[in-house]
Amino acid sequence: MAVVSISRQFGAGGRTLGVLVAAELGYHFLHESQLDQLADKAAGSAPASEVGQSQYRRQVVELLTSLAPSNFMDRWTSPEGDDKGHIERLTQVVQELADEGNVVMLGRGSQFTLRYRPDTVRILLVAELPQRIGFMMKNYNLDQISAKRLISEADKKRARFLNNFYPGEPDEASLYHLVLNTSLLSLEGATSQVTKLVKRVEADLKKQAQI
Amino acid sequence: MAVLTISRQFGAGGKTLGARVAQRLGYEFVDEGLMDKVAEKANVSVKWVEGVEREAGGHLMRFLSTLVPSSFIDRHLGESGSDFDEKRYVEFLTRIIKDLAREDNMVILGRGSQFILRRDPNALHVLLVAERADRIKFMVRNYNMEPEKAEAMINRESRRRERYLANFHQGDPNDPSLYHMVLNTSLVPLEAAGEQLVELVLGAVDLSAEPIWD
Repeated sequence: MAVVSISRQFGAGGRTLGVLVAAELGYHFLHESQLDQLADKAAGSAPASEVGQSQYRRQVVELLTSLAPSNFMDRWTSPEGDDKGHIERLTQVVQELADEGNVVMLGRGSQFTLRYRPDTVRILLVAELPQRIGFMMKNYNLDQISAKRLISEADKKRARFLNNFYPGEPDEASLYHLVLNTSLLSLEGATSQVTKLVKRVEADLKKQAQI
Repeated sequence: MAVLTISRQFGAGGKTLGARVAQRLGYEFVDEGLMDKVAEKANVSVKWVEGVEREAGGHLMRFLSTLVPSSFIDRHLGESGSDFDEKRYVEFLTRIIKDLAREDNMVILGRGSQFILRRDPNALHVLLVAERADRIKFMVRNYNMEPEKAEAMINRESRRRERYLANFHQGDPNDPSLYHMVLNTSLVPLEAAGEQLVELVLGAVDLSAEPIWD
C-alpha cells in the first residue's frame, strides 16, 4: 500500500513509465487529464459511512474507466483550467485517491499535495533541453522552432500551475525521493528504479505497522 | 563495467555511500582525499607528476594508494589561492580523472568528475541531495561532530564546491538534468540508496542512447 507521484518537465516523456510502474506494482494508473476530470466530477463526494465508501470506490473506478486521457497537445495548448475552485477540488481528489492507496498519479501538483505523506514516493523526470526539443519534433511532427517555443511556453505554464501548490522552484531535486533523467536512462532501467524504491517503501511501511 | 561518479551536497552521505557501492560492485573507490594527494604532489613538482605518469602507465591506482596524506585544498581553493594555482589544479585533476576512468570499474567521488566525464558513454552520473538539517545531523552522527561545527563545515564546503565547480563552466551542478539520477538521502535511507545505485550500475548494460520514451 503506497502511492507514487510522478512529476515531469514538459517533453521529458513519462506516461509509459507511469503505466509500466503501475502494471508492475499492481497499482492503478491515473493520468493528469483523468485527475482533472475527476476533480470536476467526483471531488468531495466521498461519503463517511463504510457502505457509502465502497459504493463511492466503485463509482470512482467506473468513472476512471470511462475517462480516456485527453489529447496531450490539447492539454498543453488549451487555456489553463487552474482557477482556485478547480485547484481545491484537484487537491481533494488527489488526497482521496492517495487514501485509497496503490495508485500511481501523474502530475497535477500531486508531489506537493502529498508531500508529507510517508506512504508517497515522489519521482521527477527531467531531460536535457535539446533532447526534449528532439522528442517533441519527432512525436508531434514539429519543426525545431515550434518545438522550442512550445517547450518554453509549457515550462512557464507548468511553473505557474505548480505555483498554486508550492512557492519555490518545482524542479528542486530535494523535493523528490528520486529524479530520473529520461534522456540518459532506458525505460526499463527507469521503471526498475521506481518499482524497486516503491517496494522498499512498502516493506518499511509494513514493518512500521507491525511495531 | 562502468564508471560511476557521485556528486553530492556536503553531508548527504556521498563518501559512505560511494565506499559501500564500490565494495558491493568490486570497484575501486576513489574519494577526493586520494585525488588531492596526487594533486598536491603535482603542485610540488610538475616534473614529479610527469614522472609518475610515465611510471604508472595504466596502473595509476597503485601509485595513488601509496601516497602520503595531507590536507592542502585550502591553500589552493581558499581565499588566498591564486587563479593560476586553481587553474593548474583543475587541469591536473581533469587528467587524473580521465586516466582513472580509462581503467574502468571505478566509483569516483566529486571533484568535478561529473563534468569531466560528462560525455563519456561508459560513465554514469549521480547526484545526492538532502535537506540541510539532515546533512547537519548526518555529520554529527557519523563524524562525532558538534552541531555548530557541522553546520559551519557544511557552509564552508558548500561554498568551496560551488567555487570549484564553477571552473568547469558547465552550469549549475545541482541541475538534475546533468545526472542520470538524483537521490534524496533525506527521504531514501542510505542502505536503500546504495541498492538503487548498484541497480543503476548493473543495469547500465541496457543503457541505450535512445531518445526520451513516452
